[in-house]
Amino acid sequence: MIERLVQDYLAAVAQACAGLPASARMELMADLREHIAVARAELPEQSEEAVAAILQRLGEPATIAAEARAAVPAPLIRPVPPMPPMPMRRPTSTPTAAIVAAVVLVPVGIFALVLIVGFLAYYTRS
Amino acid sequence: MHYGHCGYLVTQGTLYGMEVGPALTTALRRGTLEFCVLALLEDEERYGVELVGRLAAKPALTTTEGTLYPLLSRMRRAGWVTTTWQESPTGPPRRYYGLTAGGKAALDTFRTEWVAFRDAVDHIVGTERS
Repeated sequence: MIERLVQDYLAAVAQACAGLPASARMELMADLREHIAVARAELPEQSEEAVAAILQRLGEPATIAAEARAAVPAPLIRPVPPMPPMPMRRPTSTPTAAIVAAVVLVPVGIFALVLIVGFLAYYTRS
Repeated sequence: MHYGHCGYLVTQGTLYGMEVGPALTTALRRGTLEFCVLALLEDEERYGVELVGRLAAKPALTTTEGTLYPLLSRMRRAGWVTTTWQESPTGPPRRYYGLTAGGKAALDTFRTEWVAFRDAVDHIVGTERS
């Protein structure tokens, strides 16, 4: 019965620690097995009550598993997914720039043409 | 959840949403229990059952013996304690824990930090010992 008590307890701890990395879980299970073996060897007699007391002092499997999870090192800062590249934007939007250019440049162009035609007419008059 | 939720909230630096009692003792324990282990090993090596037994015997630390083994693993990985196996006349070989130079340095640093921290909190919270 005592062996069953111990095996059931260890199985419950192993199950509660199922989410741990295997190495951490195996290390913990080995530590607990050793603890139970050493503590039992110190008992004046191997009674079920005394062994149950050893397991009770070890504590609830869920509590041990919670502590084991907290002890697994994790990044202090979760990695932030890389930002998508920002689309390059011009200081002014293209359509607006085009409209401004047209409004300014077309009269200037017409004025320049008029000047050129005028000069040509003046200097080529016979 | 990835962590036990008390541990998660501790790393977030908040105890919101939890009963103050259990979450508080967990938070206080997280920062200090390993230094209690180091202090217990300062003068002599101790084997596992003895070490966890002494700590768990203090009700205010609210820890069961089993929860100390993950802590001891972490301290081993951090290089603060080493372990050696020693034969025992009365039973199976026992793993003895001992302090490293790094562990001793960490303990000395903690002593300074803890006194300053404890005194500041006592003063602000009004629990200074007269």
